[in-house]
Amino acid sequence: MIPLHYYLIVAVILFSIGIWGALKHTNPIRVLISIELMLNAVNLNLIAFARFSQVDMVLGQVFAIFVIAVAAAEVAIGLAIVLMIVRERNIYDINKINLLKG
Amino acid sequence: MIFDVLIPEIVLTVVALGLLLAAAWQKEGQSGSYLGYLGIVGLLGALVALWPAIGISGEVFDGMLVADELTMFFKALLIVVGILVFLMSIEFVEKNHIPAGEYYALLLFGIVGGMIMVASADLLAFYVGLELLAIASYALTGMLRNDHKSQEAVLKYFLNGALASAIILFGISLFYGLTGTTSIQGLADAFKVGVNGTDSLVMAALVFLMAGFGFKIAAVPFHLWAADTYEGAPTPITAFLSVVSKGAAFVVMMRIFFVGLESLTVNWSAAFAVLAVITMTVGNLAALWQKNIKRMLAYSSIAHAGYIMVGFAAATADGLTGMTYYILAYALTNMGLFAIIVAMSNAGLGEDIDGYKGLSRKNALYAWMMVVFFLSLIGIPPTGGFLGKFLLFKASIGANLVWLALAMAINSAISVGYYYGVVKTMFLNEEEEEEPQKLPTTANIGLVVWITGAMVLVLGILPSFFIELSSQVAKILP
Repeated sequence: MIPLHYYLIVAVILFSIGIWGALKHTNPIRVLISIELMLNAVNLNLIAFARFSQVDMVLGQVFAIFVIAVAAAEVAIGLAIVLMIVRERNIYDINKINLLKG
Repeated sequence: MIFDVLIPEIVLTVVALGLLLAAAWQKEGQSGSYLGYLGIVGLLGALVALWPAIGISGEVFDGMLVADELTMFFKALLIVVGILVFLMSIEFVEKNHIPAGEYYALLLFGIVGGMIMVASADLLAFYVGLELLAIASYALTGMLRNDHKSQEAVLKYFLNGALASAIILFGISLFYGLTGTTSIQGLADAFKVGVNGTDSLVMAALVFLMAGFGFKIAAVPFHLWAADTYEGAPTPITAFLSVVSKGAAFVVMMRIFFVGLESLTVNWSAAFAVLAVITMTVGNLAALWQKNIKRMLAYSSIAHAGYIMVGFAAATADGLTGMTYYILAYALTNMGLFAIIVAMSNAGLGEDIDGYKGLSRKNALYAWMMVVFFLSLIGIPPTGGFLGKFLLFKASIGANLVWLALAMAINSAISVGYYYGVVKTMFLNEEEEEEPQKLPTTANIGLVVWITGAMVLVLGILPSFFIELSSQVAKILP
């Protein structure tokens, strides 16, 4: 069987790519995708820990399902927000949304 | 069965769904105010339903949610704050053509999310409550759909909030791996016998958790979204964000850090001490330059998050009591202040501090109450804010953190600068000779201002009952 730390390293790499993308990209959809990557890293972590856990195997899997479900709701509202802005102002760059500052 | 303790949440959820249904039958151009009053009736019902649960303690849903003194105190506070937000929203919603059904239903869902958060005994329940509150807040922040500032506020809030949730989750997943459980009490037990991982992994998990919470409570250096979001959001929602979202996050942190991660106290209390000083200093200094009153209060609320974190730095029962009392006083003060700001913006006077010129002659009640609220925020007797700050001060001295107490005192002195600026604008601009147009006090806003004003003074003058309640909260400590 593949040892636990292989999964964890993949998860950390995924999470780092996600955080890098979320900070670097200026297109809100890309930022959203990056955040989804971070959540998938979390899911991978949870499921790997659950598989190797001696105590409670179900808990991590249930948690991962909750994360997936809630992330779907979050994406729904995120896309609605982006759509609202793009429809009215046709801006795809978060650096150009800069009325509020100071 | 101990389902009794869940009746308030059930009532609120049913009322929220009912509001959505009622809104579906609403005719074009019909006033939606009655939906707001229905929501207030529901909230009052929930407050009554909280009564039979007083004194009951125990767990619900297999240890997912818990009922104890901390939960009861903050559930009651959340419902009261909810009523105040509803009262100050009714005219605002009407004036800005916000879809009433969705607005009030989302507010109720947000409050239910906050109630789940304060009652959570498991990180899974906490996450669900957090997202319920956060998603409702995102939608509410963007409710002024055609206003570019509101759009920008919600985009920034959403991207930062989602990032914060992901970071908190990563921390939680590491804690799950370390201990094999997500129950907060289970974390504490696992740390006592030793976890299956290295110390550096524990520290990494702690850092992720604290960074994520830092975003949620707008602690420096994770505060950059806060000022923009608070400025652009509809004003009653700014009040909601600054009290409910922030307060519920603080309460969950109390349980997670004081109970679950008790064995790591040395590590997180030092980190919170540093965060507290940076947060209050940056918040207060940035507030000095603001021209927009909502933006000024956003930075002021960042500074207050810094003061509250002093309780975490002290990491004692006194610190817990102080934080509880401070959150209570801060919540009521902010509600009152924002109610007056809502009244000003309803009257078309805008949100700039210049718009408050001569307010004392337009509406003496608003002007004087604002002075009371500012005194409370600065921490000058006889107001609740003073006592809250005093309790935190005592806690930090008791924990041998004199430098932290000193930083608090200096910061309170700095904050006088910007609050006084507003007071001066309200009272000392007499150059216009003619009597300015009076600004009538409307019933709903007047009610909020009277309730909160009275409560802030009661908290400052006759505090014993509330101090007793706050010290009960410390019973959650192991």
